[in-house]
Amino acid sequence: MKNDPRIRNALDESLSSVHFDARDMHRVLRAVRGQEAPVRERARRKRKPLRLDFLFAVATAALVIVPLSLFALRAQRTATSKISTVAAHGAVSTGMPAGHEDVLLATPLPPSAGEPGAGVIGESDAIQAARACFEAQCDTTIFTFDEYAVDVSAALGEDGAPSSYVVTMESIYGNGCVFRVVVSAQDGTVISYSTPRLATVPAGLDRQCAEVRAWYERYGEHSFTWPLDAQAEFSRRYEGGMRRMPEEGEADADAIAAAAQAHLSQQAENGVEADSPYLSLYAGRAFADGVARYRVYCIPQSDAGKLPESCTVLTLRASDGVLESSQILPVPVF
Amino acid sequence: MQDTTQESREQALVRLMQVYGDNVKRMCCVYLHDLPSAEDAAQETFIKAFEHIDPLLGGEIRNEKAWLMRIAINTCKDMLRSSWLRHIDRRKAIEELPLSVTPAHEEHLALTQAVTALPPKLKDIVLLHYYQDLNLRTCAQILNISAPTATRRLAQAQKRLQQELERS
Repeated sequence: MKNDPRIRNALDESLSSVHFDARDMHRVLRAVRGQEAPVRERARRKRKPLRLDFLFAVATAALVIVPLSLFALRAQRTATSKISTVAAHGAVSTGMPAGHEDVLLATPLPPSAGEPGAGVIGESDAIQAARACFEAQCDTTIFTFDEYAVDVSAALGEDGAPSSYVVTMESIYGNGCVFRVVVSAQDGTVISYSTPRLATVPAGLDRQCAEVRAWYERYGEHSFTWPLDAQAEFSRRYEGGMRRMPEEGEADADAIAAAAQAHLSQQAENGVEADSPYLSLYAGRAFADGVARYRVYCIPQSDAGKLPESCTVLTLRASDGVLESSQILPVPVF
Repeated sequence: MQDTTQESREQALVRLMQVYGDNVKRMCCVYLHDLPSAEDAAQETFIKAFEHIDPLLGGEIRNEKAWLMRIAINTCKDMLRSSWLRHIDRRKAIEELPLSVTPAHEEHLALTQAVTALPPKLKDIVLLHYYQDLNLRTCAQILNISAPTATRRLAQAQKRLQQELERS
């Protein structure tokens, strides 16, 4: 069985859904930066086995406290305010804000508006409300909720009880994307949220960021020369998903490369030197008309191995591979 | 030793995670039979690697893959030991492991199952030699055993796998 790849293939195939993903990477980086307790400590806390005293407490609560509370509630006909999430009562407007200001949705109730302590939601409910708000307002085709590190802070009212929660979601990729939601502690209503676009589209690419630099070191100094899947994943994390992979029904990279090559050969007959093409597929969101297009960068091979100052850039529609334009442009610096 | 900044250390760590992350996590998964434990073990492997990354950056470690796998194996062993001490058996059958979204070939599934079922000593050598593609001498160094012992264990593992596959 020496050099037999069967075991490797079997394990890789059986466990192909197991990846050391961005969340793992983020946790490691947070731990090494001292921002988070080491994984092993969290793991121990998380998996603490059930203890008898805990079971006893749960049993006591189930047998004594809960029936008594229910009895008391029924006897006094106390109406407790129902906690409803944003998605349930539709408090979030569907319109996208134009500016970068927070969107105000409701005037927070003063803490004294209800009975003291009544109807106060917990942090986990606030997170669920923020998640619903994120999913209603932000482009979840770029990042999902799981790709954010979530932090909750409570604003306390005069009685010392939380009056509202500020849920801050920070992208785990170190790209500066943030979404902030203020949730009422009284009923779980979203009071305001920050600009949705800033949750998924980074303000700029920080080339000094360790994660970003690792990408460039791995694939090369110019991202348009990278494999398409690497470009798509990098763009999703750091460029707001401007580049992506081809979808079903669209021209694939091979077809586009062939079309570009045919165009270049035609130009070569007219005295223009043929070049080696590099492809990028830009999503519809990168263009005003919302149409996805391939950009093919035809770079002349220089003797020194350095990129020249300009190159031919072909633009082809992703849907059918039709050539839309051919321009001489400066070589992109990204 | 080369004087390295926190930034260059972090960069080296990110590169290690990108290159070996999937490999390490999958190996931990087979070793521990449990995805949450494998996640913890894989993350802890890289945290430990970061704590000792200076020799790597200084060029003192020639085979970074072997170095990382040694950390991963030791981390998994530590986790198994601590689980055993707490009398918790979190091991799962292969059917409960997070398998591929696309159905795997039956033959591959059976082989994965057989590898997972091997005793730890035999599983070590199989994972390092066949899955991580390390030569026997390197495997022996990682496991702190002699090369003949490594060869013997590999032969035992092959026999066990053969029997298991014939049975299935």
